[in-house]
Amino acid sequence: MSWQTISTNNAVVTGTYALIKRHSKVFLPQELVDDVSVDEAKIVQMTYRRFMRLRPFISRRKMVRDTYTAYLRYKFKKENYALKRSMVVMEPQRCCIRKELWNSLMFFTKSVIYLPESKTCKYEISRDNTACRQILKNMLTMEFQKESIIYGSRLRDNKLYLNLRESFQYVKCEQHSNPNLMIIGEFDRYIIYLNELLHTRL
Amino acid sequence: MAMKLSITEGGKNLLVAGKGRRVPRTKLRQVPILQVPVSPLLSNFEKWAGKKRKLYFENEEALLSSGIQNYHLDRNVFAQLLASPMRCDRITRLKLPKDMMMQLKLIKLEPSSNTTKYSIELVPQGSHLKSNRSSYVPNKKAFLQKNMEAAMKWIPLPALLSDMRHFSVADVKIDRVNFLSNYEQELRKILDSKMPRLHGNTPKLQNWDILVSCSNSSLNFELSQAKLETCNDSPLSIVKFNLSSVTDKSWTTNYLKKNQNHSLGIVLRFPRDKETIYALRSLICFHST
Repeated sequence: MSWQTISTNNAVVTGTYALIKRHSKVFLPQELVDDVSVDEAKIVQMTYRRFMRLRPFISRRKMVRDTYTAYLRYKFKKENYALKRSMVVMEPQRCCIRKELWNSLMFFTKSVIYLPESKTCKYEISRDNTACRQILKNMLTMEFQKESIIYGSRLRDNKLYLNLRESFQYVKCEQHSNPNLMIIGEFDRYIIYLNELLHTRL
Repeated sequence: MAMKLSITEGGKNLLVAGKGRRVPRTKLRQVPILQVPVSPLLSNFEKWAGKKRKLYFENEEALLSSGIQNYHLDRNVFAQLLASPMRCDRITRLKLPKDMMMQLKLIKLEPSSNTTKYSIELVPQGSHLKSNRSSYVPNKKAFLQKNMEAAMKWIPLPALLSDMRHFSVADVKIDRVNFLSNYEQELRKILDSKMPRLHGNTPKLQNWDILVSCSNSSLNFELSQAKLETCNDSPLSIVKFNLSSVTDKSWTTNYLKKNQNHSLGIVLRFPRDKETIYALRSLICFHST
């Protein structure tokens, strides 16, 4: 069955995708982020808004979109990233939060980009975008598993919550009584290493 | 009684000759055209289409000009590990990228060596293979030793659930005594076979290069900065693989000595040395807690 492309002012709808042509609501100019006169809190607010605008692009499934929203809320409102990072990396942080936020926004944006490719015309950046998408997808799967471990445990204490969300002891490379924490800890250690290499804050 | 119709001169002209009062052309253009509003179903079709949404760019240039850059993640070992497809771990039932786990496969035993009742064997793979069905377990020696009694549960589920199954669980051999040592031997075999290729090279350090060494640090992987001798560019980020967790110290010393290709130690590059890097990472993680 052949699909016809339907074009509107805002998008091109193909058989598989709705390709949005206007990206101004998602992008944040780098000059604005680098501008020191703009308050840091304002930058955080602006990036948070843009991360949230990416929500419909992340997935069509509500469960995945909700995981993404919960992940963003936790990252922006609760997480003490400096503490989490200190469990793995001993060196002091070199990159400023503005740059990290902008890079993270670009990383997420890359994961929802569509470039028309054919057999003859291939773009190198498309492979990079695919890797970003796979990492984001795996991260959201891991976040969903963390939530299931925290709220699905029969134990009525909040030890798991404290470990996974506040004290970050699970990230340390040491023997854990709970094997689940060992598995999640390894994944999150690699995420921190990736953050260090890309100057992001995933 | 005949009625006399009185028609004005202008009306007569309009009816008979069609010569009514002509509207000048300029005025005609000003007459508003009745516009039918376009249905939102068409104007905002992307909202109702129910398709997966993507941000559209015409080509690579348009993308790069908007500020998006190429991270070159194909050169980053951690990005590649994290981007590998998720698979379910057979012990904890958690999903993890498959390249971070130990792959197990069922191998047919050769009839000549088949003196026992077993026809197939469950073996760990040093480097991951795509062929046949596989299962995955965490790549941790201490943890697997603890769970070795329940190793029968590690048989690949697709093989067990297949309608074409030609074996029973009792036919599967699991060498519990040598299971983990065999895996370690296989990793070392990969490392010994792959490393000699680097001889003769004196690689200049590049960003995200991997430096293999054995330090006293408790961390298996470390990130450090290196400044190039020749140029004043920003410092390079180097990933350090620490072999200190490997228990066989003589093998480690010998390996580092034999394969040193840089003044700092062994320098590897992704994706050129992918198999070596993955084997080294697996060996380090296997021995760590």
